[in-house]
Parts: sequence; C-alpha cells; structure tokens
Amino acid sequence: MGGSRELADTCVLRLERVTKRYRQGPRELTVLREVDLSLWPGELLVVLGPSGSGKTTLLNLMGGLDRVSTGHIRFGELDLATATAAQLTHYRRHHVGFVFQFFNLVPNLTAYENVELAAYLVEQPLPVDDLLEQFGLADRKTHFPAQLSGGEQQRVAIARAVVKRPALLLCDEPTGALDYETAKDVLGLIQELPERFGTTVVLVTHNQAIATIGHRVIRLRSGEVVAVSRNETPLAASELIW
Amino acid sequence: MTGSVLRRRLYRQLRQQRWQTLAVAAVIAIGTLLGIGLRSAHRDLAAARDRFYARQRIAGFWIRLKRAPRRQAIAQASRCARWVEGRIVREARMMKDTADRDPTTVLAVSLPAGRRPRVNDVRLIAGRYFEVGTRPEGIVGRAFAHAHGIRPGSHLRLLLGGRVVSIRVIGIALSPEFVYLLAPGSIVPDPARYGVVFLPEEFMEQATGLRGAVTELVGRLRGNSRPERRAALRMLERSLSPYGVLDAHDLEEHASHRYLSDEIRGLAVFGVVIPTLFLIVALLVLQVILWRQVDQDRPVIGVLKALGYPDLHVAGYYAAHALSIGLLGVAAGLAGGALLHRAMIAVYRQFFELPGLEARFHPADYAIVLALGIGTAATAAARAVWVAWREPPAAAMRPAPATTPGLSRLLPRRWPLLARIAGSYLVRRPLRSLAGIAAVALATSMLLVGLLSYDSTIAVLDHHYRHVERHDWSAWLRDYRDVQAVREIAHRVRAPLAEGVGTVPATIQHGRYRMDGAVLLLPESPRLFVPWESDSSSRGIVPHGSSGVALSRWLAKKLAVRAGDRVTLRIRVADRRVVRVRVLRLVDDYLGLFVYAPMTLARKLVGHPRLVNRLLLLSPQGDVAQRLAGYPSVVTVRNRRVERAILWRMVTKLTVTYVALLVGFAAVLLFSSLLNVVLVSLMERRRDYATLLALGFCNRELGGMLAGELAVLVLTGTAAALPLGITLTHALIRLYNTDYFRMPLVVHPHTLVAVVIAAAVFGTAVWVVAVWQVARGRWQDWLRSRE
Repeated sequence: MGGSRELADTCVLRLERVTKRYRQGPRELTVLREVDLSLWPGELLVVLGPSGSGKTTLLNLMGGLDRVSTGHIRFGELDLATATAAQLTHYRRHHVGFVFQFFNLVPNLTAYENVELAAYLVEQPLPVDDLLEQFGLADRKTHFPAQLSGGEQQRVAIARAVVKRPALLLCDEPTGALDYETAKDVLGLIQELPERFGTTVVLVTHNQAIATIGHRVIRLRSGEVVAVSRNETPLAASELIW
Repeated sequence: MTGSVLRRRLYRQLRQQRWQTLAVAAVIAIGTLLGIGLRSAHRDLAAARDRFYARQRIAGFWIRLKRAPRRQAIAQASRCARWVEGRIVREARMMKDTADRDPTTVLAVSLPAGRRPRVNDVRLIAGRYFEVGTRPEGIVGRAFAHAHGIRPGSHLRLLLGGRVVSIRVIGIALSPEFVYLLAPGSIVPDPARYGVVFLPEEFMEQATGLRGAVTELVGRLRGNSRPERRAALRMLERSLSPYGVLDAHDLEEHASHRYLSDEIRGLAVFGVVIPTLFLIVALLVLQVILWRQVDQDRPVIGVLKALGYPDLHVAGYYAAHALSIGLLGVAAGLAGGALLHRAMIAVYRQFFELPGLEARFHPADYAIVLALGIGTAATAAARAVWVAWREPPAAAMRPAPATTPGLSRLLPRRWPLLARIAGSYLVRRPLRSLAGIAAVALATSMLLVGLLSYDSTIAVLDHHYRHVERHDWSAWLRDYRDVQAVREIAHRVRAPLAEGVGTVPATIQHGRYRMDGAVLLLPESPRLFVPWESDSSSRGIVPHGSSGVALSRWLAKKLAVRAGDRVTLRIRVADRRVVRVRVLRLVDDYLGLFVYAPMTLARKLVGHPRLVNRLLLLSPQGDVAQRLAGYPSVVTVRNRRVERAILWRMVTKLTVTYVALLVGFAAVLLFSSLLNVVLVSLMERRRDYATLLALGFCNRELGGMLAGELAVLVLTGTAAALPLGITLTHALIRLYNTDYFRMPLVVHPHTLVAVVIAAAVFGTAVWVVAVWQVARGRWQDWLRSRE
C-alpha cells in the first residue's frame, strides 16, 4: 500500500501493518486493520472516509495520542508502538502539531497566549508575532477565543500547531465547525503550510471535495485502506466547490 | 421525575459519579448523624432529669447549718418555703477490712423512717425503704454500691460522729440531688472514694449526738419566678443565721444539677450548630456539582423539551438528582445517628446516676433532621432546577455561549503561562470558586474547632492542676478552724509544707450587679494554691501589705468591675458582715466565682484573724491520707494526682471521644469537599487538559498546574478557616461557659500549624486522585468534545 515512493529512509512517519482494536464489553471491535502507510516530507495527505471508518483513530495513532494494538509506527528511530509515555509526550511536544475540529483553544488565554502556549514547549519556536501577522491575526492577538469568529479561532489553532515547527501537522476535520467561505479560507491556509513551513500535513475529512487539494488521498472504509490516489495537480482551496 | 428512561439515566449518572455522590452523601450523613445523635441525647438526658426530678420531688433549696433545733428551724423556714424537711448531713469515713487503704468518705444523709421525705425522695433500685425505728440500716447510692460491691444485706462500718457504727445495707438507691455526686472541692465524681449513704433519722440523731437537731434544711421556695425565690432564700438565710448558716443555695446553684444541666445545655447548642455547619458545606458542594451538571446537560435538556417532555419533568430530573444524594446521605445519617445516640447515652450513664436514661426514639427529631437533610439537597438543586425549567429548547440545544474571559484579564502577564491558566480557571467562574473555597474553609474550620476545643479543655485541667493547685493532698474540714489548729494537724502527719484555705460564701456586689460566690482566704504568698494570672509572674494574691482582693476575671466581667474598683462583699456566714474592699488584681480562673483575699483580711471579713476550712499539704508520702483520715474534723481527703487522673479518664472518655468524632468528621468533610470541587473542575476542563496533553505537555506539568490550583483553593480556604474556626470556637465556648465551669479560648500556634498541615495533606491526597483521574482518563476522546 503506502505511496509510490520507495525512499523509505527519508519518510517522516511510516505505519507498518497497524491494527487498532477496542474492547467493548465482552467483544472486541477492530477499528483499523493492517494499515501500511508512509508520510513524506512536505506532502499534504488527505485521509477521506465516512463516519466510523477509523480516520480519527488513525490520526490519534500517528500523533502518539493512542497506541496501536499490533504493528509499528516509526518516526526515525522511535517506534510509537513500543515508546514509553514520556517518549510519546516528547514526540508530541517536539514533532507534532494538532488542529482540531472545534479548535480546542484554551478559553481563558488570548490568541497570542494560545500560540505562546505551544511556543513555550520548544527551544526554537517561530516568532509568535510574525506568525499571527502572517495569519492575518495581528490585530486580534489580545482577544480571547470567545471574542474571535470561528475562522479566526481556527487560524489561531493552526498558528498554535505550526509555531513549534513540527515535522507533522495533523488536522482532524479542521473545517467541520466552519461555514463554507471560512472553511475555504482555512483550507487555503492549510494548503500553504507544507510549502511555507516544510511540514507534512495530514488532513482528515469526510468531505470528498476537499480531497482534491491534497497531494495524495487515502480512502478508509471500515478501518481498512481501500484506495490510494495521487493528485498530480492539486486544486487550489479557493477553487473548491461543495 | 418522569418516565423510567430518565430514572435509568439518573441511576447511571449517579453510578458514573459515584465517588462524588458518595462524598457529598457522606457530608450530609455526618450532619444528619450529629443532628440525630446530639439532639436525641439532649432530649433523653433532659427528659430523664425532668422525670426523675418530678417523681422524686427535687428540692428547690438547700441550707446548710451548723446545728439548729429541728422544730424551730422548720417552722421558721416554712414562712418562706413549703415542703420543708430538716435533716442531718454528715461526712463519715468508711472503715474497710480490705488491703485497700485509700480513705473513702461517704456523705451520710438522714431520711425519715416510716415515711418518704416530702422532697429529695430516693428511688430504690434494690431492697426496701426504712421502717419506723432506730435500726442501724442504710440505703446506699448506686454508684458507690457498684464501686464497692455493696448489695442489700451487706454490712458497712462507718466512722460517724466520732465512733464506729455498723450499718446493714437494706437498699440501693438513686437520688435526684446526687445525680452527679462531687466530693467537696472536686469537679469529678469518684464513687470509689466518695459516695452517699442514707440513714434513718433517729439513728443519725443518736449516732451524731444531734438529737432533735438538724444540719440541713431542704424544701421548695415560695415564689413564681427565680428572682422571687432567690429573695425568699436570702430572707430564709437571714432568719436562720442565728443557727450558723454555712451555705444556702437554690436548685440552679446545686452542684449536681448544675453539671447535669450544663451538659444538657451544651448538647442543645452543639446539636444545632455543628450539624448546621456540616449541612452548609454539603449544600455548597452539592450546588457546585449540580451547577456543572446542568451546564453539561444543556443539549439533553433541549432534546427532552423538543421531544415533548414538560418543563416540570425536565426540572424534576435535577431535583431528583439532588434528592437522591440527599436521601442517601440522610438514610446513612439516620442509621449512624441512632448508633451515636446509643453510644452517647451509654457514656452518660457512666457519669450521671439517672434512672430511665435510655436511648429512646424521638420521631420529631428524626422528622426535623430528615427535613433539614432533604431541604439542604433541595436548596442546592434550586438553581439547576430553575435553569432546567426556564431554558427554551432551542436555546438549550445551541452550544453554550463561549465563556468570557471575565476576571482572567486581571491576571498579571508576567506570570508563567501554566500559572496563568490555573489562575484563570479559578477566576473564570468566581462564584463557583468561592463556593469551593467556602466549603474548604468551613470544613477546615470544623477541624480547627475540634482541636481548639480539645486545647481549651486541656488548658483548664492544666491551669487548675498545675498552676493553681500545687499541693499533693487537700483535706476539707467539717467546720472553720483556726489556722494554728490546721498547722498542728500538718505537723502531726509530718507534711513538710502545709497551708490553710478558708472558703467563705458571699454575695459580691458592684453597683447594680450582684453575684453569689465565695471568698477564698489564702496566705498572702500562697505556695500550694496560687490564683494564677497568665500574664503575670506575681505570686502574691495582692501586693504585700495592701488591703484589697483579687477577683476572678469572669466575675469581674459579670459585675463590670475593673482593677481599682471597690466591691461590696456580703458575707453569708458567721456574723454576716457587709464589707467594701478594693479589687487590686484580676486573675484567670475557670471554676466557680471567687474573690481571692489574703488571710490578713479574715478579721475584717469574718471577725476572726485566721479562719480556714481546708488544709493543703505538700507530701509525696502515700500514708498521709490515712493519717489525715484519723482526724474527726477532716471530712474528705483528696489527692491531686488521683483526682487529675480521674478527670483525665473522664476527659478521655467524653471530650476526647467527642473531639475525635468531630475531628474525624471534619476530616471527611474537608476531603469530600476538596475532592468534589476538584472532580467538578476536572470534568469541566477535561477538554483543555486533553488539548494540553496533545500539544505535548506532560502529566507532570498538568499535575503542577492542578497542584497550583489546589494550593490556591486550600491556602485561601485555610487562611479563611483560621479566623473562622477561632471565631466559631470562641462563640461555642461563650455559649457553653457557665459561672461554675468555663473554658478559655486557647490558640496554640502548633494547633494552627497542625490544621494547615492537615489541610495540605488532604489537598495532596485529592491532588493524587485528580492526577490519577487525568492519567487514566480517555483523554483522546475528550479532545473531540465541544467546550
């Protein structure tokens, strides 16, 4: 499965026969089955699938938020399957950024402080002021989340995710809580990230239209990767229609 | 509450939040338990006392005389009183055959043979009453009989009136006037060394040589109010003064009644104050839980209303939530209260000789406490019910408006980010945080109340038995003696140091204020009984050579006297002089109402230069008691260490048990309230915590943030609890203190430190639980929840 490239030693993250099961009372539920996948530097990978297909579980596993039942997820020398809790925390702290559907900003910190919160974790973060200015939030940085629109909140969340210069940016339905126009703006911003910051972006969505902005698209159904496709000329987010 | 589905949901919710549910229910249970235990014990004690007094016709006055002709004394008394009885009361020594050489004194009280006394009748537990005649028979008080294994048919040998008489015990009885029997000068019953024996009147007359005479009058005073009755008593006292009045007091001043009634009064006070405080904490904590619950449930409220559930049913759900917790707590509290009630009555039975003192079921108390417990839960649910009632379905289904920063903006920018987050959580919902702090403050203050009560009790014992009483032995004399005679006794018993003390009953008057008390005549520089002033190193009662007295600080307050004022002393013995003296000093004392005067004032007060009725000895030798007991003028012999040990035992049984209960309950209260506040906070912030973990913060950093929040909660609560606990203890002590026994408010720094440490320990325990909750939680799932 995976991608077509064979340069396994340069991939950012490699998933090998990843399976995830949950126990629900007496029975066991397999939510991901034997997934093989490699993420490459600077690519925008879209994970597409209906509700319950295992998208978020896959994202959680890639982000070190959860552990595989079987298989391996390798980040350089680190295998997330066998990493200690401290190693997983270090991995999230230094190499991963998250963007959530409902923004997950800390409500009692300002926009600036929310970004600073992530910057605080690494030694060489991007300058917070510059970042907010680049994201069109220069005049909103002293505002609290409750005083920002949904789009602005998600921009702050994206700024918070990239300020750490992560190798991997994981976006879980980042437009799910936004209106059409705002969603396109946010997608545009996400689409620029690989080029602007050299980060690998994984974007999880159930919206087929959004798949066209990625370099690569994998389709999940019932926990299995059913298709992988490559967009040689990804569509600009501003041109999206759904 | 509606439908079985909502009932099932409620059941599941209570199960999911079982620790919170149990913690709040525990607080309600403790409040209920204390309410039932203390109120029921109060009712039983009061009812048993009133029943006993009514059935045995308790006297309204006691007048102790040197010696008076029976007929004339009764005739004179009958002008101001009714149901007057004349009797002979004498201390007698019990002669023992056993190796036990501890001197044992009995108070021998005459009773009319062939008829029951009009007042102070005895209640026979075993045996029979006296028949007409002069047979040497006796009825023995129950506690004394138990302590010495005496039964009807046993024989007692008493040294009475200078000769040994053999008495056949015909009955064991309880007396309403000796429910709490104290030896002279003692504050704790010691049935092994002091008891009461009733003897037939004629036999007593023969044995004591007081034929046709009495040494005590008892009866009921005329008058409808206490002032009227007291005026009658004073008149009676004056009219009997030719016979040598040694003491006159009414029921309210009668030692046994005082101790019993003070205990009943204390129970009444504690039975209201302590449970109320617990229920207030329960209300605060439950309120915080339900506030959060209703906020979290807004979409559910919207959906239920959209489906067609009436407002009443939806609101009823939250009422049912609160009432379920309330009922759980009340049920446990009622069961525990019944046990506490029984345990308390069992303890009181050991100290009070009251027939019919049993733990009875008091439906009214149960109903009141049940209503209070349910009322607490209902009050806590009020806001949640109101919100659930009023919220329109569409509004409820919309996401809650985002939380405004509120007071978060005021937090200093220079604070580290995590500290600012922790701080902002606290100030974001100030009312909720304040409720949490108030709960912690109240719980911690209860802990402090318990410990300070203990300190105060110990301070009284320490003060009395270490600073004031410094002798080894004290002997009470039958009559006033010249101090020289006393010294001779001391010399003969080979005590290296001896001092005489004269206790003279007196009314102390200052302006329009007057109180009945006593003047203690002491050596000018006493060494064995030292009225003690905590802030003075002076050992004299008053400056040497000065003519004046020292006054109990408590008495001074009651009489509005300051050092330098003059008071009038109306002496109630001898030739009943009225003397004005200057108060030169105020001293701390906690038992009785005393004026301390140097022996040099004796002539002015009682017309005799050196009058004493108590001998104090410093002698570590154990046989001093036996040698003292050989003197007919010696009524009782007390050993300070023995008495202190008995008192310690009593304190251990009563005070320490109560204090331990209170401290234990307060600890549960503190832990429960802290745990609830923190668990509610965790539930509210779990998405934020999950986000922080996802960002790369580690559990240690989150733990640090939680610790900071908890520290603020605990420190603020404890800071408020210290003055609150001190104020509460002060208020309780003020309510509890009487003219006869009072406690100072003692605040040792180490007690405050102990409370702070206890709060810190509980805070740490709750922190461990909170960190564990975060660590074991499925925080990946919390990430996708909405704020």
